[in-house]
Amino acid sequence: MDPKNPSTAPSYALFTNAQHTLMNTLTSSNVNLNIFRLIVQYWQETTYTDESNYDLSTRAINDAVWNSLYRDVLRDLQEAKNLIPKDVGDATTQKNELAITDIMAVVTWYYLVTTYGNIPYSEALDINNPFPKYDDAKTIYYDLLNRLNTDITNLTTSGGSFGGADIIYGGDIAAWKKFANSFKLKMGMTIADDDNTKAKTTVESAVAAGVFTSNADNAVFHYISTPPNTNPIWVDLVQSGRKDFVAASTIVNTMKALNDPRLDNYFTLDANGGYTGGNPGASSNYATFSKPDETITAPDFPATLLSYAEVEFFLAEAVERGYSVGGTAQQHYNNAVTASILEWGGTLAEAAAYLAQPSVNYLTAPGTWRQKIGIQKWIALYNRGWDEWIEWRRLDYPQLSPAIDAVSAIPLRYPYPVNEQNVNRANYEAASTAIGGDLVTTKLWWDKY
Amino acid sequence: MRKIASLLTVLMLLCAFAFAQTRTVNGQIKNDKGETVPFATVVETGNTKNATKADADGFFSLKIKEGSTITISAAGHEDKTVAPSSGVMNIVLVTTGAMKEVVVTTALGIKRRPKEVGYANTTVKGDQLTAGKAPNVGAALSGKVAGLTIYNTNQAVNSTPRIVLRGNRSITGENQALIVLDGVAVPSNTISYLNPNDIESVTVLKGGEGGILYGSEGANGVLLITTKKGNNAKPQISVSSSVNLDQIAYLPKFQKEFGSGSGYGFTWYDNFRPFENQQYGDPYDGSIRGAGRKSPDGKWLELPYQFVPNVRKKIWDVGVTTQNDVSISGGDANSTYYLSLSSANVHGVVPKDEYHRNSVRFNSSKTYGKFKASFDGTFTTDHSQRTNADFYFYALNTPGWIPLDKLKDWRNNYFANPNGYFNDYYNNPWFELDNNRNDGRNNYFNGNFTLDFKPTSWLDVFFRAADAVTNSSGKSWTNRFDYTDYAKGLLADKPITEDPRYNDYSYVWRARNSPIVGGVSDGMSYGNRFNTDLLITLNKTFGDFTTKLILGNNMQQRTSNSVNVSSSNVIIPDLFNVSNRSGEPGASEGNTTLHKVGNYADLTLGYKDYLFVHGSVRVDMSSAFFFHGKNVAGEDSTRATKLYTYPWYGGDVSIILTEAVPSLKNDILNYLKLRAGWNRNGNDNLGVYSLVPTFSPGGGFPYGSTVGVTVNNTFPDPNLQPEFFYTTEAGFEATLWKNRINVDFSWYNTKANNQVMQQQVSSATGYTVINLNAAKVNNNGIEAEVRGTVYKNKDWTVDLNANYSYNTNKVVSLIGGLDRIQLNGDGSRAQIFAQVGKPFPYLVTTHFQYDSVTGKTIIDPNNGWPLLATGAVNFNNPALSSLLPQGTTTPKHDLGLGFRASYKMLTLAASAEYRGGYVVYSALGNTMSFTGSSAKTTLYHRQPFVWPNSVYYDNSTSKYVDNTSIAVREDIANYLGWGDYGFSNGTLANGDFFVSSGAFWKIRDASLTFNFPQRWISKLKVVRTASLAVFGRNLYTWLPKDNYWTDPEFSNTTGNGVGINVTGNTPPARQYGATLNVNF
Repeated sequence: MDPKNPSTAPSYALFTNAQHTLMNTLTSSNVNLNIFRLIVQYWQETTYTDESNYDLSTRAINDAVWNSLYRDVLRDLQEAKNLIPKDVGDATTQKNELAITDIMAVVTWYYLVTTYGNIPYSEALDINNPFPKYDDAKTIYYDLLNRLNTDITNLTTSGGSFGGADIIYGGDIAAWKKFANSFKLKMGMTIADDDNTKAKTTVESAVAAGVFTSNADNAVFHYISTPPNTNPIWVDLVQSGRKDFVAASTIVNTMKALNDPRLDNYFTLDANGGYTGGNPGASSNYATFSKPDETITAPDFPATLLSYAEVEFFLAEAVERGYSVGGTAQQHYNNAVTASILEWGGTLAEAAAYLAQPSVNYLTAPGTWRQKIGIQKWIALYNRGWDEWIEWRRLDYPQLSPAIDAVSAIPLRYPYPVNEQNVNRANYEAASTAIGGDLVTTKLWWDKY
Repeated sequence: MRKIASLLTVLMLLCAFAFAQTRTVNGQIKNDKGETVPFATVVETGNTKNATKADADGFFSLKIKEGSTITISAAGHEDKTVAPSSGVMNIVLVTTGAMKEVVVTTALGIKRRPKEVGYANTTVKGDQLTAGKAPNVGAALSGKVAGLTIYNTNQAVNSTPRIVLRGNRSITGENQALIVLDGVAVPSNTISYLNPNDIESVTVLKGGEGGILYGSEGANGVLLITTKKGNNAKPQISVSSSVNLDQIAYLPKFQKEFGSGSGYGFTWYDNFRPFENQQYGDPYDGSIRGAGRKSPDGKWLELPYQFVPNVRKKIWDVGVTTQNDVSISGGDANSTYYLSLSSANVHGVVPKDEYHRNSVRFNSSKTYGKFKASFDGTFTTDHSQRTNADFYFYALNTPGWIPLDKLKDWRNNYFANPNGYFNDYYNNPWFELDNNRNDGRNNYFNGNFTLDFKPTSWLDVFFRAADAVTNSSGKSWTNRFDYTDYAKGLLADKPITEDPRYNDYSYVWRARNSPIVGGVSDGMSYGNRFNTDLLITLNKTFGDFTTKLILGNNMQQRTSNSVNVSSSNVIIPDLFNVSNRSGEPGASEGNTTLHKVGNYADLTLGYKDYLFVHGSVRVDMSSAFFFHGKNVAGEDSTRATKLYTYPWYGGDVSIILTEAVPSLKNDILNYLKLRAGWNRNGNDNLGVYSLVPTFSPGGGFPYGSTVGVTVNNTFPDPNLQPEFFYTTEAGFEATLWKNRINVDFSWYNTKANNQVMQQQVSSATGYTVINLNAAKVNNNGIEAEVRGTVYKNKDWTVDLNANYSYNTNKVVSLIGGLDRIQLNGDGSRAQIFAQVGKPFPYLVTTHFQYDSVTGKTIIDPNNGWPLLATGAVNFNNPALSSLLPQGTTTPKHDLGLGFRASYKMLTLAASAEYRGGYVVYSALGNTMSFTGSSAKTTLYHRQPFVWPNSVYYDNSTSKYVDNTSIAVREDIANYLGWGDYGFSNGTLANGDFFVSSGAFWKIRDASLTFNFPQRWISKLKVVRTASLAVFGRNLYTWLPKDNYWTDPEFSNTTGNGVGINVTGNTPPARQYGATLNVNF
């Protein structure tokens, strides 16, 4: 027996690690892993601007994301699923834990499939098949929806589950049920431009079963203020002592024009006491510009997986698309913006004043519903670059210009990892052909416009 | 076991028949110098049929008729007839100076006559090893044995060389030879601390055959080190003292034309920046310029803008090694003892690097009738103090006009202090030297205890218990340094001068962007290797047949334990304690235990003393191959119930043709032995716990009191087996011209199958690596050694020796149709592969596109600079393939030459070595191109030029057209093409640019020894002999023209993927010194 590395492990510890790793991956601002804040122009780099200009290959970011989600999250969830039936005696608890574990897996798969397109799925996570084939992205996606439905059915509110090992909800089954339905809403809306019928039934059934109704429902991972359990942003920005990021001019200018009350929650004051951001792709003096606010860079700033504001934006969109979810688009839009302002520490009065402005008011704000919702969602999803990257590709608002020294167009997907090209070549090549080329500009199936 | 028992009974019965009217004579044969005489013939005088041979230690036993005498004869000694007496007789022979019978020490310390040994071996005597005063045994053996390649991979004060016999067989497993000290296998690092002066001889068993009795550990050949023992004589005291100087021998070729600058503008004038680490500014013009930035009081480090000659050589120290040894040895008729004390102090070429080693060695033996007991123990303690900073790298990042040797005083000189040092991106190397250090201590104990019982002349029972213990502690630390607000630019934000080239930032970039927070890492480790051997040796002669049967058992237990704690910052400067930190400390611990049991048998049959057939078999059981529990699929492992063993076996035959067919023997051919052998051996060095899938604590845990664990990334196949090597070898040994010339030739072929591969898999499996048995490698070569005395008279002796080896291997297949796996690399620009169909390690690099028809370089017609090949990998048509095959990185040819001439009391000895037939990649060269310090960056003087022998693609004709007019664009010629990692087809991305032949000729060592004449020292009474020697090592190295950089032996690894040299190797040094030896 390896005294250092145990050869058996408790299933809940694998679950906890997977949850932690997933949240770290989604939240990280490390240029080797998560550069979505730069892509959607929330932030901008100071000296080394490679990532602001979409250079994914130098740091093999496409490999890092893939490895993190498959190897460090899904593998552990898979192992937890294998062990739960042996570890947990109570049948209801066992079923609940398996359902929650699978929900975490569906969430992880969602980010993989919306980042790369076709990926190994049916043959994945099986070491007997070291070179798995890639499956069609849409087929995977529909299977994920089926899994999510089964998981929701399998959750028994009265039963037990992970308890403290579940850092997000502390094992609260009702909360998980609400989360699963809200995530189902998100998954349904994601494919609305491709398969309106499927989107409609998915969204309507999710809403009927009950989605988030306030910020109290938010899926939030709480970090601790002492290392090593801190927010990865604190690690990247504060602990490291590095000064790599400032605000991007794009979002700062937009928020200034809208008199957005969240500006002081998002960014620090610049050298002149105002709010300015660096231009995407250009090198920017750290001292000159506004920087990510101290709230965000605090060691215990929580990471959000899904928020009430986001749910309300989806509902507004659902109304616009003619789905039966109740309410008007404006009501949902107002709820979303208000929830976001409250979530960031603002007041109801601030929200009301903000919404009263013609440029923000849903009835008078410029453009189509895609533009109105797109712009406000972009602002609301600040600090959640990965999610905004999905929404931006889907809604096509805000209209972002590529960075100044861009090595490509703004990525619409990530290229497959270099390791896959080397070791899993035949399957890689088949997948590249199937999706229309392994390029950052290849649109995924749900990205129609 | 039952078979062995009955064999014993038969042998005992045979002896009993000879019991009538006889007496038994027991004795030991020595010469007039007190040395034992091995393998002497003892005959009942007048009855040649009643004879026996003494053993390797000179012991014999013979039954003779009452009243007979015995006659003893031994090569190199006068015959002697003596009357028997009771007890163990001491018989002393007089030496004649002719060739003596020698002993070959083989596995487990078993001594054999050279005649019997059917596999290649070479013995190097202690005085040959110590002639050049090499710091460790590995370096001393370089170039002295055919088939033995020593890679002296770096210049550090306590480096361990890579030791490989007959090239590489295993792609990812062990290829280094087993080190055996006085019969006991010891950890490979032993060679780095063993005192060379304690060594009697080193015998190299080249193939796996000689190592079968060590089981899988011996599969890669064995270096048997025999240490000096006492002898049965008066006490002798030896004192030796030596001083050795190390001096940087040569440095890479530097450019001397351009100063500080980087890609700021289009012209080199625009590119000048006084705070740059890169050296792409305008040409040196001798004008006075300010380096770096102004101090708070407005002063500036003003320097002439011109190259300072030898500045990069002056920063290295002259290394000094002093070593003092005292030994005392002696004994009486029944006992021996040997005691030595040694102290070595090394001051390295890297300033402030120190290494101290003290050792004490004691051994003694005592004979009590039929029992002999011995003890041997060495205690060594060493202490190294080194910098962790890559001093060389920092030095290369210093433009040539900066007098680095005058900026040592970083504590007091503002311009040497981090706050004021000119370089914006890299700190002062002198500061790094003092503030980023490692302090390591090791205590080694190596000891064994033996008991030998010899009830009769034909039976010997031998037991040995040995222990090798290592206790280590090490501390690495970087100090905290707080930059001033002035350096960070927090006080002022104003330009330095009117000249825009001085005004990039008003602050020191380092100060603002890379704070020096410090950190401490403190660790301790313990390793123990306990080993027992039981050997039963049976020797018996039946008429013309001799038999030697050895039955043995070996048990091993290896345990290790390590603990490390670390902090990632230091709160109070200069206090290097993990508790002086903020945040959680890092902590880790590792424990392993491995058990191994081997049983073996070894039989040698001789016929008429000219034909020998030998076979050995060993069956190993290793806990590494036990797997209790369930595999990942949840099934019970087959190994949980089954005892898993691996047999290793081999056989060889040798025939002395000159004795079998005496007519062959003549004045020219004195001795000819042919030998051939076959064996199966293999690597089982999987490491402990390799068959069990494991979990580790997740990053960022514990989370409060919540634990998180993760599945490890390597998937172990629970059915893993060892790697199997099948070797066939043949050779001959001949002695020519009155025994003056010895020739030894070998041919061998090894098929290494079933290799354990760390196969990269799609990480969509949830793992990144799977361990599998796959891959085959063929390895073959020849070795030849010639040594002899070419001239000899009363005053003169001239000995010459040469050894040559040729080795090549070929990767036959890898796992599942895979073409290649990577062993080492420098980013994507240079990778070292095991590539199917090629020898490994095999270097491939990125390269410029070339026209496959004319071989000319293809340039981009828009800027005149070559295009980097980006096509799919295709080794058959590499013109556009992104990777270009370069060749193997281990030498195919290795030639060693030795020379020794003595005239009266003077002896001159020298050895040289050539290696060739391989390439190396210089990551050092890449670093030098980035910094702009390399002469290779000024091939075209950084001015626009037409790329020689180039073509471009003409769109109108769809053909490659010779380029005679399109010159390289100015900004590419003066910077981008040479020194910018961001320029995607610059030389920095072109690995081909940094490949050179690995060939070299080196004068390994040379020494001149003066033996004080007896008439001088006889007056001193107590002094018996004395000598004074001057010596040098690595005195000169010849490198091919395309090697701009460094010693091709240097490598960033001592693993299987050698062939990439880096700044961490430091520049090569030459050594010279003197030694005084006095024997009392």
